[in-house]
Amino acid sequence: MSRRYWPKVLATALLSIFVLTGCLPGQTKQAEEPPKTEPAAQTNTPAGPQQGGTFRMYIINPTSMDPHIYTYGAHIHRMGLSEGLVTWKDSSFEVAPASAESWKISDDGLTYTFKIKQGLTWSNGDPLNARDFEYSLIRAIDPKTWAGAYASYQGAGILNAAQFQKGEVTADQVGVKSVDDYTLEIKLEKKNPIFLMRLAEVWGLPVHKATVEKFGKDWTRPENIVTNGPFRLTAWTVNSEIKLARNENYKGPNPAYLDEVQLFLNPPNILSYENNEVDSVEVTAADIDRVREKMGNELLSTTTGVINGIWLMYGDNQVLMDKRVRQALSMSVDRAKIAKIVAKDTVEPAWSLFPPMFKEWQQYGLKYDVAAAKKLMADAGYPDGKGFPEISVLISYNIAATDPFMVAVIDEWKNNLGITAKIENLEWGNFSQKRFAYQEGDYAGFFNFSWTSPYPEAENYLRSNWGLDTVWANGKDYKGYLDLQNNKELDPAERIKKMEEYRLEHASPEGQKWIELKAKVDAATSDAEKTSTYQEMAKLREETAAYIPLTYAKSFRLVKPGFKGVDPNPFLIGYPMYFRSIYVQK
Amino acid sequence: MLRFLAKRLGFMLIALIFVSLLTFTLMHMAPGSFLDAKRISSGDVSGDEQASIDVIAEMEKRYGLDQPLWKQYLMYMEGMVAWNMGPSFQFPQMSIEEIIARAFPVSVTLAVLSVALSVVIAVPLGILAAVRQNTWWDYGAMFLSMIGNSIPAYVLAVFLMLLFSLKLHWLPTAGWTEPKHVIMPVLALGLGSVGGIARYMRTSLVEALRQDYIAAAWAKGGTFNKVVLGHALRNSLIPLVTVLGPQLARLMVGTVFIESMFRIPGLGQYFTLAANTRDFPLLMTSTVFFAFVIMGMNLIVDIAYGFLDPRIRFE
Amino acid sequence: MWVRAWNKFKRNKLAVFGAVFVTLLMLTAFVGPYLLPYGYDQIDYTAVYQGPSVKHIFGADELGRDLFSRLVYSLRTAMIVAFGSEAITLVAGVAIGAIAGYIGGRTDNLLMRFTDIMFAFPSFLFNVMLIAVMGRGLFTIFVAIGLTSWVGLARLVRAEVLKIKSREYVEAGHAMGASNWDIVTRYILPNVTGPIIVTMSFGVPGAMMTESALSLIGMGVAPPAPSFGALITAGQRFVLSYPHMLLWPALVFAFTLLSFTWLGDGLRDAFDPRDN
Repeated sequence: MSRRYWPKVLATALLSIFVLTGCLPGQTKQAEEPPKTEPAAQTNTPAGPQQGGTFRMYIINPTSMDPHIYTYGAHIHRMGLSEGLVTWKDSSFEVAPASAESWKISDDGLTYTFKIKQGLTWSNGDPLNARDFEYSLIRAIDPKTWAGAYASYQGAGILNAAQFQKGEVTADQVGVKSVDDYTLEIKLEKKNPIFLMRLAEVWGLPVHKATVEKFGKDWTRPENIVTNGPFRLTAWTVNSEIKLARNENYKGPNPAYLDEVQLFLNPPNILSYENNEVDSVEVTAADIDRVREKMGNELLSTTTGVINGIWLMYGDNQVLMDKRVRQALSMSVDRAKIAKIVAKDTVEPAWSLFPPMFKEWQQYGLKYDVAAAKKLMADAGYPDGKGFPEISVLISYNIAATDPFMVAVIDEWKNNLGITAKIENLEWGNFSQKRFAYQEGDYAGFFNFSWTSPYPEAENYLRSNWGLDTVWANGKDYKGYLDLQNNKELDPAERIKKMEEYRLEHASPEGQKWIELKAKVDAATSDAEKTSTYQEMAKLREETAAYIPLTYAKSFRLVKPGFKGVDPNPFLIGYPMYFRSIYVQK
Repeated sequence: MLRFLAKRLGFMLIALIFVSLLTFTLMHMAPGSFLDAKRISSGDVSGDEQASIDVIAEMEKRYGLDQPLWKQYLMYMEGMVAWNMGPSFQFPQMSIEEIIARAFPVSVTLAVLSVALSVVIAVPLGILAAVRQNTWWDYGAMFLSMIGNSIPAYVLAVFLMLLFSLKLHWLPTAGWTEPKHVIMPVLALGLGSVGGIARYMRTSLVEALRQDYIAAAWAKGGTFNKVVLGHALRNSLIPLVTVLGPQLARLMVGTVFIESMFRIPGLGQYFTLAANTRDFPLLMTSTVFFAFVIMGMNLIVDIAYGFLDPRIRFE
Repeated sequence: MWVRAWNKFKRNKLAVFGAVFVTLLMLTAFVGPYLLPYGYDQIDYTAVYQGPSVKHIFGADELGRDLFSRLVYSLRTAMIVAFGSEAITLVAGVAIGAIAGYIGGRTDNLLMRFTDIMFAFPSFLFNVMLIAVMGRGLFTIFVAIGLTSWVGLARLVRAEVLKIKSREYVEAGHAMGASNWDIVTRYILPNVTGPIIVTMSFGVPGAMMTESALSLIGMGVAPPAPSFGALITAGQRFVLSYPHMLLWPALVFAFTLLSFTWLGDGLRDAFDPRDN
């Protein structure tokens, strides 16, 4: 039996190998070509850049392709698949018309009336109208859909949006209404000078109601999806790659030049750039010197809004609760030296919690001053680091700062202040829990953070993060706060109120002052008063040194010669603002 | 035979329940939660307090995380039995059965090709070493195969990329759309197991060549082709199945580094993502599924072995 | 048995090489750190990214830390992980295997079914989950690896014990009233030592491999502590511009694994009862 058996086995094996390699499993189906209407693009193309070409780059692996679920998939929509009422012109973040050709703002600043351009269509040829936007803007906050973009939406201040999310009011009470097919009215709760800029974020993108309702969660599959942007999704191989093609049914004001965009999902690999497989790739410190030398003319560098630093943790040990100690820790680190030597100038030294685009806000930061730092330590009772316990810095594999930078920081502390610190490099889940946990026993330290605002607004670097109201007078106060936060017996609103009261009671003097200033901003009647209060808050925060900035990330991007219009997004490292601006220069 | 099968399948079921319980316990013991991780990764560190509390409550309800643990466990098990496991945390728009249906064939392809490659190289090496036992051929073949064994696949992968992509420009560095994308990952995975298989081949062939019937065959004036390749090799190939089966299973369930380096949409990547982000449903299902694949493979090997070697009877 | 094995081992050149190298590597790992001119974390800003030179014979990394020193410490980490996990494997594997084999009956059945289940548990995934639970550290990593790698040894020990138990001299010992403890320690353990040593010597490179693989997904020994996995993971990022940062760790790692494999191979041949 076995003699006759073997050839058969071999033949079957070989055949299956052949069949398998001929057609790899795991690929998604390519979308059918949609019915073409007239070639709209020809009339839209300006004289300069020509249509055509394929642009290939890396992108962070999106785990969903729904614009209303906050993943990188939502950003792919914003960058090309979908188009909201308004858009950002370029990396200046200036508001420009998109689906809405014009808009009116009422005198009280609370009502926005958008005129939607007539004749716009979805990628399947369906007409696009105001009802689509009404449906989409409500879907984005509907607690019944996956609430990913939640917090970001709420900040925009649409009337009753927050109440709707909590289930207190019905959808028709939300301040988004279509007046007729081409008129959409949005009402705000209170005046918001950056509302239009916010509206260009991912949550402002429309989705095609009929498709969403027909296919449910499968609506984003390439074979099902219908979008309204200058590009359409043609392929999505999860964990591998995504393809976009020009949407021939796009009739809006921002048409695409490229025929196709290929997005390879991370990890990026500079080798593939040198092997001509991608047209653009982000460069890290590891390769920067060689790239500067060999391909310097293909390198695009920009400053970004990403801040990296360390964040105070609270617990039994009170050694870091002394403001002077924290100031000394900050002032004794020569960030410029580390940035230059270790990071090869791929990052900028950071002394402020405002990134470089807000120069005027940076003046309150501390300075590199070892002598002053030593004096502060001595004043706090630790001359030359004597008697100071070992502290910890929590980092994680997934956070942008690699451990070498932190090793260098700790070395500075050792050399300049005579204190020791150790790095705790934790697995992601452990890190995410430990950083906000109450630290028992002798443990004292900081955790590493990295943050960026999604849009250029200085106040966002003040208000949404690094508030001083949770800088406690005594680290032990944090326990009670955590207990409140995790108390599931209380209903959320009640919990929030109690937490607020607790902060008022237990925050450090700086925290008390912060809460006071925050209230003052909210009550401010003039812009001047608001700005000056904000400035006061900024100064207070930098001096408190509970959040110590270390570096600002910079973006270094290689772009193959011939591609123009790659406009890096300063708030999203490694990505252009939009795919539509990229073209091939012949 | 039927009794044997029934017994094995019954044991498999018990083992799977045990694996699922262990996984469930471990994942609930691990600190951190998906929502925590999600909050940091979307840059929303402190965010809006009210919003995060509401979102968390909503999410917990949606995924049944507010239920008692035993209920949650039963929920997962029910989903697995019905092959309807709902969406993963990480991939909210994809059901887990769909993730497996898409990614598993990819992993199988990779595993089958890699094992095929190692067999194609290892078997001749093993034969050479056995036939020319204790000569420099033998030492050389074994030396080479052991070197292959000592270079981790992910290091080999980097060197392959440097050679084929950067120096020769023959192959793209990564991807999974054209047949040529398969070459480097298969080389990286396949070369590693050449050593083990060649070594096994050599030992079993050496033993086969010592058997009486081989001596008889030589005495009857058999040629090399007839005696070595015909008789001895056939009998020594059979035990190889016991090595290849588990090897295949191991590659099928996890080649996470090779997958992520070469951007291959296989199963391994999902598991690491799930473990890292505490994606409970995906973590739970993938572990049980992997255990199922491994046990299934072992069963197949045993059955195949029984068919190939008439001396073995199923008890 | 020992004399015969030793004689056979001596004749196997590769195995002797392996043994010599393993001894040297162990000496380097445990004595080396005291003789090094630099600590593994000693920063030297004048040597950042430098290739091999007289001052840093294997070159230096992005902080100017001496790569040779880091490799010596990595070797020590690898040895601790490997021997630590092997110790756990040994205790668990021998205990479970010997008890199951010696007592037999329902105990055997129960223990072996448990072993079968653990055999089906995908070991890498198990490692990942254990580290997620216990956190990332030298100790937790070897515990995790140890807890997932005893299965093979348990099966082997059980099989050997069953074989030896049925031998005449053991049965004679029983008849003469020797206690269980006597029989296990006097007859059975000495006889299973050979196979155990062989399994362990292959387990060492296996554990080192697992540690480095865990490093790649951020679950190995945590940088800045040096380990092969961490150095190789970092080296991969630098390979195009500073190839020495991958080349040396990869070479030293491969050589370490190879030495253990040679040794293990030689031991297996030496203890193999089949060919003489």
